[in-house]
Amino acid sequence: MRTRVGWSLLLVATAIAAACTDESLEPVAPKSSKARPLGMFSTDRQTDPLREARAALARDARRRELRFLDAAVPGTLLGASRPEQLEIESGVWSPPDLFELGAQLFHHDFTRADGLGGIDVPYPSRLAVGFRGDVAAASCRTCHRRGGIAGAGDAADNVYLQGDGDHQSGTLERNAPALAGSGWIEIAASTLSLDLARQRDAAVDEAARSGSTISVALSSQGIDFGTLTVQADGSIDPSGLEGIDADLLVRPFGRKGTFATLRDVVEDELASRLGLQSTAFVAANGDVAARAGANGGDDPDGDGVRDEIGEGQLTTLTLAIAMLDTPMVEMPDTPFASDSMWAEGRGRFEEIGCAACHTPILTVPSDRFTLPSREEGAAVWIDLANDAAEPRLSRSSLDDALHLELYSDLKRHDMGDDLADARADRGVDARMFVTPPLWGLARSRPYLHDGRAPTLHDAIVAHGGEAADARDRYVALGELQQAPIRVFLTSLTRAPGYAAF
Amino acid sequence: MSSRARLLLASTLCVAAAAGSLRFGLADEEAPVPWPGGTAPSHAELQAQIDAAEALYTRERADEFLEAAERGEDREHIVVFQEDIDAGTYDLARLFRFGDALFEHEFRAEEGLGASHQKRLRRVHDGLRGGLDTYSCAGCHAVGGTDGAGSLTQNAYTSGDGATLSSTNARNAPHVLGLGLVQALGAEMSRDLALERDGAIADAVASGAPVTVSLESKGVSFGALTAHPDGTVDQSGVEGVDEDLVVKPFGWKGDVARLRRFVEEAARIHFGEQAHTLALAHKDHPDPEALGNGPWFDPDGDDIQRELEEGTLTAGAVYLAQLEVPVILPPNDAALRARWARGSAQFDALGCQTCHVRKLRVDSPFWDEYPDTTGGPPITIRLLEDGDAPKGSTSVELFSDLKRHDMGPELADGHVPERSTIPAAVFLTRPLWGLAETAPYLHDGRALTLDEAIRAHGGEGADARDAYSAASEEDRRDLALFLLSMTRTPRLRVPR
Repeated sequence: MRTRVGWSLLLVATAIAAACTDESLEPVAPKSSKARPLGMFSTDRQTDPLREARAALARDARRRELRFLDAAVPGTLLGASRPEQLEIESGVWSPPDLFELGAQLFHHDFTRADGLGGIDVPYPSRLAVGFRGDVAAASCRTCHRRGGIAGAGDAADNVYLQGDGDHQSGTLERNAPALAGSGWIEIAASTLSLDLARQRDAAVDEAARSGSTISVALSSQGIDFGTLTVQADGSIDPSGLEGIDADLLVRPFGRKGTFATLRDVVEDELASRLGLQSTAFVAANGDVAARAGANGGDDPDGDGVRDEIGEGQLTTLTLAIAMLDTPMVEMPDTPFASDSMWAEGRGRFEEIGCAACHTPILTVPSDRFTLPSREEGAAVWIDLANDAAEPRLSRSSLDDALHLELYSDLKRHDMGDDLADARADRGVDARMFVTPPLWGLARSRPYLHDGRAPTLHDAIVAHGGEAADARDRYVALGELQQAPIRVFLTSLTRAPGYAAF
Repeated sequence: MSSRARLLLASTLCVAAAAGSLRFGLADEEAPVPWPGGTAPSHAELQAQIDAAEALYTRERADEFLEAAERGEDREHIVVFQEDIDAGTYDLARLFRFGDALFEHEFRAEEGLGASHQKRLRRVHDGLRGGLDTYSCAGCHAVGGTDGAGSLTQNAYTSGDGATLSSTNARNAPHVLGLGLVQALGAEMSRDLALERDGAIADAVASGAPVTVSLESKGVSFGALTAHPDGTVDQSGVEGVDEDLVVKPFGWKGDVARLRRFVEEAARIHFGEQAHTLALAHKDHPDPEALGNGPWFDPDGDDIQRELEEGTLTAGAVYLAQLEVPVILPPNDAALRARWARGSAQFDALGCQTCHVRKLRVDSPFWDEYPDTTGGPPITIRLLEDGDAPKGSTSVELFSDLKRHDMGPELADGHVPERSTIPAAVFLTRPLWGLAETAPYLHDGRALTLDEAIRAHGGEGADARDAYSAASEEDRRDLALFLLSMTRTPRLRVPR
């Protein structure tokens, strides 16, 4: 049984719900758009290998045939990936449908006619121009491609941010991370943020009540975020905070930890990497030439295409990414890397201090991934434990809680001079990076923010700053004692499954 | 699934299709699947695909754990000594696996990645030295499947000043399928042209008068040359091939004739992995500009010698020569297939086939892969039997004449690189087989669509382009349908 998405406050939905007593007779709000799930992606996995193999090949067959159809009737594919936000809010699309619609968009090869690029930053622009960005790809999939749907990028897929469009030096180099599990990451971040806000509010109350200055050590799930000092008049001194902004919002997305929500980072990536300006992006940035282009109005990038990404598309794209399968642990099954070696490595990972930042488990109270409406409509949500792509995380059989084996504290840390960028990025110091979750690690080569490390060993020894001690302990272990740690890390992967192409 | 969800699905069935009654959106048990070729894979075919995919995944996953447990173990998969090959230690299948490992292998510093001055990745190449683009061949040959093409992000920016993108010539990675046959075709064409030249010289010497012969191989004309009685040759009438009359089918400019040389060059300019063959040549004829100022045995001065063994080049060449060949898979839907057939006719009618020659016949479907330095015996590859299926036939559906053409100023490179004699606007006719899985198109990936790619043709391609532009929109779409049928056989994989 699948749960529905976003049935909530919308009047239409309420009216329908009130009028219907029998679910099977429940009418459905009309689909005004041409959006259609096309059978190229699925949240389901067949347990029988033959059936799953056939399903994978069938998805590929549809991809091929639809490509012909799109050539015969241009716009078929993109039109089928453009649901209206109102449709989504009124619940006409099931979670599997939404995943398909978003995945179609994720894999769509955009063209100039679709709005890719702009007159000032046209395709192809390999190196970014300031905050206007670059147009070095035609789809999300171009760079998020390794190890399954919406995976990681090769070093060759690196992007070079905030440069002059011609010189590589002076840019901020970034490797595309794997996206599986992103929905859970947002839930975890908002769980921490909520907890920290509660602690702040309590401190403000306490300061007001006592009439004195209060200093509180902020901590959530064992992760310390420094101290907050609150005056009796409610004014706050954030200078003692660590690894988090003054607003106490945990921002897990972006290598520097600059985005709190998946939708924000998706919207920003579409605009900055593909020149696809969503309706909401234009509303927010349309008059900022350095960000959106100088053409102004409803087509700031001046390519003649308006509403390049509709709100409904942004919603499905965000939901599809949030609904990706949850990374998992695949134990070694080889003569040279045994279970006991894995266990030894897992233990040593903690002993030498990796786990100090790569927090093994974060616990969240809810599996609900929610997109609040930005157009005064209804919120849309997905219950990931029920409707995410398989394999999906479920509640623990021991304590009925949702434990994410994330291996991250979602906090920013000083990583030292060697790993530092050329300069600060959007207010985040050049040396500071958010701890990358290690789940799915084996399917996210190469490693580190700029892909400089082709192997796990290279990645570990490149750690500096706050991680220098853990790195030194790793180096001091010597080859024989290091190996189990790498075996453990290699077990962090995505569930293998069939794909055809 | 709730009955309501079922109801919803039922209303999403039909994609508005001018072409016919394609129905998607159902689970494949419920809606007809548009299987390429018309029929679903049989139980046995599925099982074979599963077995192959599982075996590959299991092996690669085990290798990952092995490398984790014993750092450097991956290197064992790519170190092949030519002396061992010469001694017959490895069969063809084993060499294929070595080459496969080489293609996937991610080089690292302790294996010679980069150079003494170049430890960090760098996209903007520095003249003849190249750049440091990524860690593996597979890093850029991944679009459309393994051994595939490159996306725009994976472009290489070659022969630049090491600092600015505008100083470089951009190159998009082509797929590397079917190259054994391409290599053989090039060699046979080169042999034909050399025989024609040598015959003309002999005739001129014997007759005491100049002899002019037209150069032609496999139906492709390479102009004409005139031999003089004194044995000199006037090659001013030669077209689309170098003065040595060697057809070089690899590289966008058509400047490499042998797969082993291609592997050697790509490893050097993309990873800074300098093959030992290069060091040996450097010893006798120093080339610091291209290789570096280190000692002859370590030209790039990174303290790693013999970064790639000669035998590794052989394995790489033998691997590439044994890969599958692309195929043509028309649409499943009858109406679309009718349009596809019209598009195929358009391809000829518009003049595309003038350069994108549909088929070239290979005389001998065998290839002898000789070593460079050891004098050992060749490895013989049966090009239509050995390695990955499908193999095609002696009639190679390449859609190229393997000849260079002037493509006009719009498509021309920014500059002619040092040591190159090929004009900026001249490129080899890109084989179109496998085309549908290689977007973006053209040498620098500038074209996002087939329409853009065709319209960007100039120079010798201008007439066909004009014919295309003048064609009706319907005809142009039919042509696109035909071009999109140039693909590769569907294959099951466990993504890695």
